[in-house]
Amino acid sequence: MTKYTLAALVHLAVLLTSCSKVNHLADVKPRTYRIEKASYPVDVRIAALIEPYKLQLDKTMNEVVGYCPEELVKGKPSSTLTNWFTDVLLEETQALSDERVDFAVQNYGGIRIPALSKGPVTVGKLYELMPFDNIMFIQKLKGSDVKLLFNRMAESGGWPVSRSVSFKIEYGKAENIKINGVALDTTATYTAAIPDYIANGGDNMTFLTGLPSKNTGVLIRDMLIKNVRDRHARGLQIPVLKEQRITE
Amino acid sequence: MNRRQFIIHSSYSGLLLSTGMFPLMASSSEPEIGRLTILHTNDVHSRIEPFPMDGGKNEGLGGVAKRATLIQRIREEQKNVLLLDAGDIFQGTPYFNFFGGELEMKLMSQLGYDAATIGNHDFDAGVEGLEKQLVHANFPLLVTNYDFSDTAMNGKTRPYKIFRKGGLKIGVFGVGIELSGLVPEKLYRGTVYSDPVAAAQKWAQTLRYEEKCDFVICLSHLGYKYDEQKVSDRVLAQTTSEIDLIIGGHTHTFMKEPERLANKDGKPVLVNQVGWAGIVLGRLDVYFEKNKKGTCVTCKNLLVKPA
Repeated sequence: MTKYTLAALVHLAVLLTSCSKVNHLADVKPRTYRIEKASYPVDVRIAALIEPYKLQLDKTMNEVVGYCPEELVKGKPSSTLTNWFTDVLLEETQALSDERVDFAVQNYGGIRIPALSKGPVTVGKLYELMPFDNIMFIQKLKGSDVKLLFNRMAESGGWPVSRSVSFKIEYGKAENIKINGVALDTTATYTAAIPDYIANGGDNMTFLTGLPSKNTGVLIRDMLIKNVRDRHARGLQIPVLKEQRITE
Repeated sequence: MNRRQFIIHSSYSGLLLSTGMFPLMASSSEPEIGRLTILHTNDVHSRIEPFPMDGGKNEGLGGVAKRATLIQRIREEQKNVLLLDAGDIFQGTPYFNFFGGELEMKLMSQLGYDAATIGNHDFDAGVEGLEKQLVHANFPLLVTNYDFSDTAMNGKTRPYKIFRKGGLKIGVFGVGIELSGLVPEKLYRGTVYSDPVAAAQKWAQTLRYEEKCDFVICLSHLGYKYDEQKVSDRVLAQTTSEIDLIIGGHTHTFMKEPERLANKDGKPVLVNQVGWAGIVLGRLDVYFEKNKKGTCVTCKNLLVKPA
């Protein structure tokens, strides 16, 4: 092949490729639209599609299941909202179990409203309080694991615990732990109502994974709804529990 | 002369549609400009209605019926629209608890979503629960790194889809986050997760070279970025090639504008995410110039920020 034919071939190749056009990416311009309350009108076709679901939902959500005599506020280390919440978990879990359940705990972050207002309590409000489909587990913990669990709670300023528990936070540790009025025995075995989220190691409770546990199959939220409804049927309001189960 | 490989301009200043300013470079006719409008959401989390007026930080924001109007208006102005979602369609309001995601899927179909990927919360009713809702979706779920062979979802997802819009060929594929430790095992049982970087590289290559796509989009539910060593959209962007745009989710990050990064070949890749709950709709107008190979009059000099 001579130098000239090679040059001609290269030239031809260049010509051929330059004949076909390609799509060059030239520019990208971004923008965002924030959907504010008064931003865009409602698409009536879409609203009509939502309507039957909304009606069905509202019917359930607007049902009043009980009455709250005064505002229950969420707080650390103990509060009226968290006291009530964990007592419900203990009562409802005990009702499902043949053996004695010593205490119940709940992760602080899992309670999703800052307060339960005074007045009628709807199913919808309890959904807001507990939107997650967390399930109750019954777990067997050695006293030493209970100490570990309460230490973690103490580190983060105190978590919701049932009425059967009391301790004092000292330098970020749980001290003077009592269960049902008796000092914690680190060698004994305790039975606890613990939501699956924590029982499966959530919120850094990794040491709980693998401990003997039983899945009750009952949603935390359903326990709350049932408890409020049952009390209401017996003419009882939501209890206001002001004691400091955890002290600082 | 511009290379096919371009450098993203650091500011998105206006596109010069006229070639009049470049008489020496201009061919006999003005270049043909194509435009693709990408609309996107992520982590809508069953937020069908706007947030309730309860004094909360997000009160009154969002709502599918308003988003529908906005999307319709954009469609009236723009010919070539792609509407995409980066996962976590489910969980967050009682609509999901009560109806299992049926309404979410019906609404996205009605809004004309072209594709979505799968987020971790889309497993919240189990693999079977997700599969049950697919009948209400007229758009595909795209994912390249979940193997559903041993589950009810077998054959119900696809790795990618190609869209032809105004002479452009757009390839869209999806990647999902590692489920172990994030989703209860019994909910995703049978789903086999594999490395999203390897999967993304493989399918982006396929879309670019075998399918000859002009633009390659990755729908990702990996999350924007992490402090710890964990694969994220930023990691994905910088360790792969042939992806032009990553539309992300999971970390609920409200980004003012897309981040521009250099991929492993030094070519530009954009990463974007628009928060959560349908509070914001993202839009990217992508301009293409149809011209000879190696010639582009309107191409921006895209400067890639060092990572």
